[in-house]
Amino acid sequence: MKAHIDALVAQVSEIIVGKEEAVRRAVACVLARGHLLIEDVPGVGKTMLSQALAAALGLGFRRLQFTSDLLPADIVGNSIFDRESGSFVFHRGPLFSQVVLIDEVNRATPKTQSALLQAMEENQITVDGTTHPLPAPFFVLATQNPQHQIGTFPLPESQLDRFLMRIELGVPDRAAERAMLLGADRREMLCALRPVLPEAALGELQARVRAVHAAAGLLDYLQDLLDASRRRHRTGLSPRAGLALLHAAQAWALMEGREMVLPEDVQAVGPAVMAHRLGSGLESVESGRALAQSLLREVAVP
Amino acid sequence: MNVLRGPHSAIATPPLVALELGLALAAAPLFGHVAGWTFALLFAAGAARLLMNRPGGRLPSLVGKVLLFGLGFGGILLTYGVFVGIAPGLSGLLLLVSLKLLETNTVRDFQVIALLGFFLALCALFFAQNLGLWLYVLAVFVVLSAALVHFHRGPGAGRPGRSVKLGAVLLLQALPIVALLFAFFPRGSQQTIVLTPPPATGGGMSDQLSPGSVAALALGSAVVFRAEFPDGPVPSLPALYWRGGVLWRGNGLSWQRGPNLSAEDAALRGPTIRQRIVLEPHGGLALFALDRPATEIRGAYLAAGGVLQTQRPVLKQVPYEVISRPENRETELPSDQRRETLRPPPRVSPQLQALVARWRQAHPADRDVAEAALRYFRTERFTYSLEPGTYTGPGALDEFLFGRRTGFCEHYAAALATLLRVAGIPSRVVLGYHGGEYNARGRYVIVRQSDAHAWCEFWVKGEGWQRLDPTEVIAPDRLSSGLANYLETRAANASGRDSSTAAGWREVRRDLRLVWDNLSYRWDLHVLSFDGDGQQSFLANLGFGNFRWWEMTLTLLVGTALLLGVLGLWQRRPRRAPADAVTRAYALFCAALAAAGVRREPWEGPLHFGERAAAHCAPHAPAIREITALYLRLRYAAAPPPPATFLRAVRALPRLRP
Repeated sequence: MKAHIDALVAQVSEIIVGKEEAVRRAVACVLARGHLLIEDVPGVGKTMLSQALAAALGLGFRRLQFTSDLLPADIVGNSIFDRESGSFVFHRGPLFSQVVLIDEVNRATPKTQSALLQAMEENQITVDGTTHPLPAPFFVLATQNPQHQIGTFPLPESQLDRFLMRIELGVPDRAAERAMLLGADRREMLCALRPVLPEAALGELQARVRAVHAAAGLLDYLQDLLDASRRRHRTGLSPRAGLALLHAAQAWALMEGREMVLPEDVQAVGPAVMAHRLGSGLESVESGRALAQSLLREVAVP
Repeated sequence: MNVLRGPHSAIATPPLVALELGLALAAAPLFGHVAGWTFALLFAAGAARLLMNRPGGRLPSLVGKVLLFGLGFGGILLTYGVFVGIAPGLSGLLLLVSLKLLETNTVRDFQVIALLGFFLALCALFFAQNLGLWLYVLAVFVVLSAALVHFHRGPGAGRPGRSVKLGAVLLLQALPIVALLFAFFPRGSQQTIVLTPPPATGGGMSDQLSPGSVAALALGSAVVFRAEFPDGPVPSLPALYWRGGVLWRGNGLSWQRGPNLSAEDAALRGPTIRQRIVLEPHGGLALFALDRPATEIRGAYLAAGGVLQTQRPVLKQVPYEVISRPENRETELPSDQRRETLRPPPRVSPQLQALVARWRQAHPADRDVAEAALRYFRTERFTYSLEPGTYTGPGALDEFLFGRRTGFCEHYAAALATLLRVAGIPSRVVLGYHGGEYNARGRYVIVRQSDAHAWCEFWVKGEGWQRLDPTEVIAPDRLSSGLANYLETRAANASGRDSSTAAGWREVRRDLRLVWDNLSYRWDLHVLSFDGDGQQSFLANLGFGNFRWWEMTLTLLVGTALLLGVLGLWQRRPRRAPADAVTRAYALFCAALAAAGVRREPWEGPLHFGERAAAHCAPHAPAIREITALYLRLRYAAAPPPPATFLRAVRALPRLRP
């Protein structure tokens, strides 16, 4: 099982050079059945990461560029009158895909954003009273640009909460960048990428994640973290955040080849899970991460 | 209620046993102070009540109880004739406790009798208040509290140890209130109730010296007083002559205090030595002080012979401060003193007369005659003995001087003083203590009955009364090392097998004894003697000048309410489940690593910490990794293994060095 995961990480890392930690977190996010928000400046490989992930996982991939004139129907799909059958037929939108990359999620209007977020939360879409299940697995990678806030609709806290993790890629270090400059064309590599997971292996892995044991002592620690965040911040971590933290830690533990969650797993995924929930709104990415870090430093491991 | 048949027992046996144990312990110190049969009654009632707890047993009926009650009070009336007074009162209390124990069968009964037990335990303090007894009473309180806890916990009380622990914790929680009451309870100047009758033997110095009386004293180890020297270092022990009384009327070997004489006009010289003394009750009038006390103190005066005396017998502990100066330059001997101190014994044998006349002829100066007398003791094979036998009758002095020639300090002092008088030199015998034991821990000197001593003083013209200690000549060791050591060394030399381990043990025992003595001395000094004056000055130090009784009462009430509030809040504090063995063992492991230089941060997970520690203490890395892995599985795995392996591994942990 660990071999599968290692291979997956290695495969993606071949394309996203020097970002193994970010890649591992993204994989953990997938394994935990969560959605991923990547916040970074353009050109650091956000799209590349999601494409590589989709390809390595052997999943269908769709990319959506959000703009302010995008309507919910544009992503969800339309019911169009079919002259022959004399009824409305639902035409699926681009959201009906296993891996959806949404570029600049904060450029769309709140109306469109909320249509997306409902899909993310419920894994299904309701149009004209009919509920259409989304494919499984369903995994959303959304990117947003922390700069150029003019003309954007920042995601409200409640919606940020739906993303299991937020990660930053950052520019690669010198050696990694040199390797990239010297290496083959990324697009071609991407095309050559073969799925490393056998069919249905992802579902099995996702099921295994939930079975990783979280002992009472670990839950104590996790709840101490939640309590501390609620004592310290105006809006502390929500119960959903607690679940997210647990699932992410379980995924991380599985990736480490363990059948039990350790406090270290919580700490490894903690910043990625907690930062955007704590430091949302007007605060910068850095302050959210700093809050998460200081929270982890403050709460004792029982 | 059935008048003739009592009910079945409704109280479980374990709390009953605990209660009876507490009552027996509470009553034990009263032994000897109450009618003996009430003691027997208490134990009989305890045994009977336990028998009633057997299946089918019944408690006494109303008729039986009334009968026992009548008999018991008749017994007390027969024993003492009255009901008032401390002994009849306490006997009555024991009787009531015994009867109550017999009928104890409800929750209320149990609580009442436990409260009676607390009171009974306190009654022991009527007779003594030393630290040991207080600690004993505290232990009895723990037992009684544990009995109450065990009783109220009911059938699921579990091990008795748990109830004892809770009982002790309850008492500890009461300590702040005890301290508050101690500091603020309105006190009078004579707050200590002393019911202790003065020691039957008189304890200390008597008014006369008859052969053997000092020797009898000297074998007792009871503490007479403790002395501190607040101004300077403790003088060397052999130089400590504690003056207690002067005997004026000599009759050969036996001396008496004689008539009341006028006090001399002492002109004391030399350095002043301040002493802070706590005198144990001895029933006499003497207040001891270093030779010679220079100042009068409150409630005492300097009597003839330069001894401090109180107006009233010393029946309770007396703390006092006195200044002494070692040198004396009196010029004039009061005429009544001269008459008394020159009075020769009624019978002077020709042999003695001849001896003294020989000295007198050879030495015109008084001092030289005294020297000659000392030389006589030294050269004529006199020996020092605690069991010299008795010298009786009119020829006692001659038998001592020319016959057996063995005796104790009192014999030598009496004989020397008599010899000097026969030679026409004014002399007297001084009683007191010599030396003592220095307690380095508390920087004070303990003087015991065994340090009792007698020496001689004679009048030197132009110089006044001068000390002359014949024992110094006969047995210098006895004076330099103290009697106890002197005897011990003599015994050890006699048996010839004083191994070094035995000596080591003796040293340890001595150390422990001194530590305990210091503790109980401080207790006496600071706790027991905390009277109204002490309280006022203590409060003044705190900034409450002239505190009136109602202000104290108010402080007590408010303070108690505050303390109870704080205690209540503290009890409601959020707490974690008590640490289990695994957590404790892991804490031990972390402590061992911290000692080796790797401290675990509170937020640090065990795995990361283990890795860090393994990197730090490379030689022990496998052990550290193994313990960490075991701990992680115990704490976080779905099916934790039994903890034994982990606990063993932690116990086997070597002392870690980086």
